[in-house]
Amino acid sequence: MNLFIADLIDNTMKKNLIYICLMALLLVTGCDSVIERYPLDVPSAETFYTNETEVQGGVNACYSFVVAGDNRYLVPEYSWDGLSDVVFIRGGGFAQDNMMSTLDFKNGYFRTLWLAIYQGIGRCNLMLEKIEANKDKIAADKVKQFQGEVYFLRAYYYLRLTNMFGDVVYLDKPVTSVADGKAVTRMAKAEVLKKIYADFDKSAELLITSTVKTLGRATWGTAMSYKARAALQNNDWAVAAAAAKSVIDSKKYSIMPSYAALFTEAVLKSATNTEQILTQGHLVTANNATIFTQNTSPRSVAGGTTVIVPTQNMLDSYLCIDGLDISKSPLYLKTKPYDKRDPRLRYSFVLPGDMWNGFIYDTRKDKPTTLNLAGATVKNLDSYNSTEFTSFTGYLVRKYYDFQYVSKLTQCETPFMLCRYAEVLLTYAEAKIELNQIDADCLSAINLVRGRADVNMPAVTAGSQAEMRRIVRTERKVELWNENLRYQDLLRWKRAEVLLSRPILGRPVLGEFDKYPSVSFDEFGDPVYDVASYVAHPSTDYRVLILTNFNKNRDYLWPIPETELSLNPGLGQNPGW
Amino acid sequence: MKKIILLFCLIISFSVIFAQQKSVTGRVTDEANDPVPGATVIAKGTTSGTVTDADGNYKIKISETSKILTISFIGFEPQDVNISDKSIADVKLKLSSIGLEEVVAVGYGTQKKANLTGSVQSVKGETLAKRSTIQTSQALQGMAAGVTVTSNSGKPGKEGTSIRIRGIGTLNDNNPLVLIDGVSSSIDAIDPNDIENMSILKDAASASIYGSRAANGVILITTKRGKTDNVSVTYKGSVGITTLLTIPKNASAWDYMALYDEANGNDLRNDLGVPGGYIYGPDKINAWKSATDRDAYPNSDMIREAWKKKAYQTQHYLGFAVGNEKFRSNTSINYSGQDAHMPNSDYKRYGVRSNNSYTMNKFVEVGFDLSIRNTTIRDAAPNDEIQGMMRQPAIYQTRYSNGIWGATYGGTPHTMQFIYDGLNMRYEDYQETLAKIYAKITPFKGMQLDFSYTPKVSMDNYKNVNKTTYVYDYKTGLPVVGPIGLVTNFANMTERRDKTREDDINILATYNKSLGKHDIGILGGFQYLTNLYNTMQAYRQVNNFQQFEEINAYDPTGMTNSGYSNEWALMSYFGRLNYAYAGKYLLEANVRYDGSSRFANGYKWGVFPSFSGAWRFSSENFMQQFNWLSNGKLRASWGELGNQAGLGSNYPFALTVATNQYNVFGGVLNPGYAPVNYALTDITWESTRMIDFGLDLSFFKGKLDATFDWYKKDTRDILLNIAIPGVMGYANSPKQNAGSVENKGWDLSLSHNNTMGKFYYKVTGIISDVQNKITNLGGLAPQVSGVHVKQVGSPIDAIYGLQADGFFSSFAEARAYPVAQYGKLQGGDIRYIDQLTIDTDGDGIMDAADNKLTGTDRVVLGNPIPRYTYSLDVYASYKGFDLTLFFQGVGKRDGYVSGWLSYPFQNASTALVQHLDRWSEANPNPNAAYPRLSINQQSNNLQPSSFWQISAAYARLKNVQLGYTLPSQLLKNKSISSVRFFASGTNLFTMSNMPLGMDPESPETVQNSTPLLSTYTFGVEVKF
Repeated sequence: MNLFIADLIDNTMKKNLIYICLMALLLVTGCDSVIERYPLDVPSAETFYTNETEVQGGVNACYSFVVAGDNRYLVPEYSWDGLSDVVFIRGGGFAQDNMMSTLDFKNGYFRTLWLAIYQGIGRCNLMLEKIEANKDKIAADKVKQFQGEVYFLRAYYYLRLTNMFGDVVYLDKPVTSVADGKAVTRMAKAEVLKKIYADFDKSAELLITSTVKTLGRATWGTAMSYKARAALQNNDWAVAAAAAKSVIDSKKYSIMPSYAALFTEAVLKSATNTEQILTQGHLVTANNATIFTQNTSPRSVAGGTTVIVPTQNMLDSYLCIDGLDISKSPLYLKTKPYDKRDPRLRYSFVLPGDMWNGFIYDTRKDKPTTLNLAGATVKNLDSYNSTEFTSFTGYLVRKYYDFQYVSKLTQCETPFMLCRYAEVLLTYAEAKIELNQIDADCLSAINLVRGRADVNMPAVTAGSQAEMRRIVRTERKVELWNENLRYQDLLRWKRAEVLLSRPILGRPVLGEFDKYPSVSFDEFGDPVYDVASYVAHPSTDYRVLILTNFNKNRDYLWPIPETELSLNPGLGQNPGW
Repeated sequence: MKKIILLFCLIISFSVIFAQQKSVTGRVTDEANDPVPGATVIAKGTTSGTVTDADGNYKIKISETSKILTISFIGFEPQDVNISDKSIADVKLKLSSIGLEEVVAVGYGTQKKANLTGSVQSVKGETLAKRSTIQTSQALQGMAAGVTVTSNSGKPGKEGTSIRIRGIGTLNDNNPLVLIDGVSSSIDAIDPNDIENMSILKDAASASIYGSRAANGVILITTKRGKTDNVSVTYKGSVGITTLLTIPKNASAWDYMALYDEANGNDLRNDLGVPGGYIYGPDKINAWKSATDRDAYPNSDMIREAWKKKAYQTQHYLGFAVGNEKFRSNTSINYSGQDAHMPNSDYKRYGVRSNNSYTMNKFVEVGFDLSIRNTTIRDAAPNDEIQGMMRQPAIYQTRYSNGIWGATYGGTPHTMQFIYDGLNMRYEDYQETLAKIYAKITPFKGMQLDFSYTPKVSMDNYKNVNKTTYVYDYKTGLPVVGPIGLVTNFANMTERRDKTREDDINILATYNKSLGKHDIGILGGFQYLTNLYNTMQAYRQVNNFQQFEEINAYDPTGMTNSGYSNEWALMSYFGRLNYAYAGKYLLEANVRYDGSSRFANGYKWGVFPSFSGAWRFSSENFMQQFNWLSNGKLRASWGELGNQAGLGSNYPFALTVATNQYNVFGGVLNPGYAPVNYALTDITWESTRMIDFGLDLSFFKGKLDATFDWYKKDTRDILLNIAIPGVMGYANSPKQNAGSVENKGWDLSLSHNNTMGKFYYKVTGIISDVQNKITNLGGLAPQVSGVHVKQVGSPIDAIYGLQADGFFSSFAEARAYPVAQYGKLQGGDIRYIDQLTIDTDGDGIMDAADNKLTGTDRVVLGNPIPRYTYSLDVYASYKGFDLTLFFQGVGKRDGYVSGWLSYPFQNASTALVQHLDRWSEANPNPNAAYPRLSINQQSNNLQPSSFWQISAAYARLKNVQLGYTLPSQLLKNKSISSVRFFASGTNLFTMSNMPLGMDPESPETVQNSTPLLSTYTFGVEVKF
């Protein structure tokens, strides 16, 4: 047997020995090329973007940071409003810390945001260069289309950047070396704004003849609407009014008849949605599906977390159908607090007593059971009695919520409108009011929004500038609730120091509004609470969610992130940080 | 198993045939003519053997053809006796000298221990095997000075064991290179019983022949090979019971509610100091406490209910060695099976190893080694073994009295249901096949050429199966049915297959020559190593046939897949020169020239030289008068090593376009292309320079041994991820050669052995220290990550935070405190020291505080790198008994309490029993273990600070083993040469300062995996 094995080894070994010797000889005499290895699944950047398909893909990739940031609670469609008084994010560390002013410039989110936006800008600058370089290989109308979209996106990114950081580094060409990247300085926000306007204008000019109407791509109207937004957010009233007016006069957009239907997939995905100006699509396959459903689902949806919920502060801001706030309207009854209110309340919130997910929804502690669709008494999974992690405010988000995702909470594919016509109308109205041009155009812009068929709030008539200011701000708060504009509004109105020093509330645990003092309203239509008088009633209290503590000497701007500052001290820091 | 038993029987019957006629008797004594009981007597080349009795007498029946008896006993030198014409043979054994003739494995060869110039520690395979661990890495714990082995989990097959040789050399990968018979591998790829010898190359001089992969030290494992004139069969089997070392304990339902109310009151305390309301209230708490119906008023402790107190393990090993002049073979089969402390979870490993060599003629020897192993893991708790259970306060039921599962606070199924019903299963299956063919050619005396080619293929597969999970109504036992929301997470499944192929070609030429008193050795070699990795992954969701755990059973809608390959290559030339004069003056030089595909052209190659020398002063004439000194040697070495393991990518130099930057337009997926990761091309090898001075001493013919080494290790050009300006448009931080780290330390081992009549003992103590310091960080600002900092002048990942200064004793005191801390303060919040951070007079010395706490008030608080790691190994034998006691520990190390241990109620977590010791208004204890409670306003007390730092020093009785070798008289069937029974216990006793739920081996991570285990093993070892 040994002999047999030996023989076997002998034979195979001889062959292998020869092979080894040959290989060895080859290798010993070889050179670097023997140990050269390159990626097997992706192209090299140096030789890329040489034809229309590649450039088209490059332009598409410029949209990737239109939603910026990796914090799932802070991605705008999950609610940038969670930074303000109208939406509460449970466990939303950053949002709450920001409102309590406990962050410092080392917080990673600041850099995450900074990096995301500059990645967007970097891609735009690279593509402008590549479009130019490949001009003769791309059809002329495509060149205009590509450039138009990229100019829009670059301005969009700079607008977000200046909103959060004030003066920023302005670049219109790719930076290719680390040394160059460290040598940059910041440009005054006012100067950057001019560049933003110029890019929006260029984009509008290039896209005005475009026939591309694909949902999600920038158009002439998108560029002009964002120019209006940019001007408004910088209190540049004349520019805002003019840009908004051009969108209104173009008659490309109109108010859709139903607010209730506007945020449903049927309308959001339809080409006949005349109100949408920029819509972001989501698909699991594109790795950008959202967890909106998980964050807003009640506890009766298995896996729902009710992390993002409307606040009592917002609920109190909805007027009664007579156009008066709840402290003045005779229609308001504390025992029926949700009745006879602006219909948008019911379109936006899930309220106690609503049939939701097949159950009568109520978080009251004394309601351990509830009724289901069939009228049977079942365990109330949303009651405080079942879990203290039910909605902290007693309300849920209805706007954009879609039941088709309850079995796949983290794969929500609902598109979100990043800009819609109602905002343009309200921008126009506010700019006109601030310019003290309270004319018929101005009133009609507000009344178009209020007069939507299924909203039908009483028309507004001319009033004093202060009165009109209160009206347009309240309208904006209500119409655009949870559409990611509120925080920036509070900053530009310098209202953050007031509203983010008031407590953020949930409803009374037992829902008994009549046991508490009435809410009053300040001159801008925002509710004022006498919290001290609530705290004396343990366990049946209004729920105080956060005692905010906005620092007006610091928090109007976010800090230049730590790492960026240490790489380039020449950037300088914002005041107070 | 059946197959193994069958083979076992076959081999027994096979060996019986060999047993034969002739009888020899005799007596074995030591030099003082005292009898030596328990000595082994074996007929050379056979399996026939016996053991001497209490008077040192033996009687053995052997084959007539046997000519030589080998007599051996621990502590003595083995001796051969020719018995070809004798029937009586008395033997006098000599005490073994200190093993100067011992040969140890070094890089690409062997070296007499006496002639070593570098720092090499050798561990015998049998010593490792005796520890009875399933994983080899764990057997190594405490075995060698300067080698620190820690595990962070007791999960079978997922122990997360890390081996550090002489500290932490780089900010990147610190794992040593492990070579099993010259082939790089995982240390746990081998069953401890297959190991002949393990050599640990600690200093640069011994390791530098491995150049670019040796910066963290090298572990050489030599496996057992067949020997000439030998047939032997070994069976070793054991069963074991494991228990959990430490496990957290929930606060009771009423304690939880009371603590929660207290926390809630604190959180809603108004500016006058009046606490806010409660959620549960004293009435409910009292009712709960006095209730008898625990289904309605649960008081659960999921962690302790879910974890089984005991689990079982089994090991079998069967080895078969045969050899003659021409052909030598050693084949073994091993099996290890270990149950986890959870249902549906276990670990199994099967291995086969066969080493064969054949001498063709006096010039050529060829060989073929084969190793196959297969590991399977079933894991019912792949994510949330403990953390998921922490989120289940006692007021929620785990399982109702009728056996129906409870639900979480959110009404969803809880972790225990997932585990017990196997609803989130992970299956892992790892297979590795390695074949090595080699040839040794000896063209003339002193010259040898070695060729080897080793292909290795490994397949790593896993499946994650998540099943649809129902919440049940505990009264009806039926799923809670609603119109929507019937189930939690929809069923889904991921299957992934990774394949790695590695080809290793080695050519080696060695030449040794003695000219009078001059000994010269030359070695030259070449290695070419290529590696190709490929992975594929598939995912599907929604399954209506959940009993089938295969991709095809799922709905194709929503399926995804992905896959990629990457590769690397390494080419090396190396050489060594040894020179010795009269065995007294020893010199060695090594050089290695390495080229790596992972660097750009122009940066691929690195040269790594080393030099070492030793002086054996005990061989000098003037030392001969000191005959109590058996050996004395001074060593010195310097060398440079490389490292490229920190790159994290095979193509760190390549700027590529990512093709997956998709966006959605018109509801349709559109491709998007963009460069995502910036790359720098001018990066190259990290290099480690190390200097080592050593002293080896041996006294009284080896009764006392000492080895001491002092070393300094500087690692430069460490590849760091250094942020680039964000304005460049990339979010990554590319690799740059930037950092430097220094390690200084010493290793000391002392051992003493002695024989007193029938009693033999050996005591070995080792202790080592390393001081680690970052000396350069490429100009980066201190890199703070959680409670750790990487900064120049401090150890890597030093603990970094605020200095705590007790609690505020009252609300009034807290509010009056002039320094702005974090959030609104109250009594029981931690007060921090406001460091001097302002330089008022411009003299460069900070002399004033700024009255607010910021990142600049953080200071280095502690060092997480173990110092003074030590072990003590006591071995004793008396007659057939042998006993081992093994202690191991760390003298100085800092740990940190975090996560749910420091933060009750975190993310809806429970509170633990230790949280009862908190500061409260009712009991404002300034020495409380926890600050005032809070549910979500933790911004002040959870700042990284010295409050949470703890000492992680510990001493552990790592192993106790008692063995008994049957007296030969009892072995009637003489085909069995020895039988040893043993009982072994691991991790039996620990002294440490750790809170319940944490282990000193991982003193910072809040355990979210299985705690370490105590193991009690019982087994038998039979030799034929």
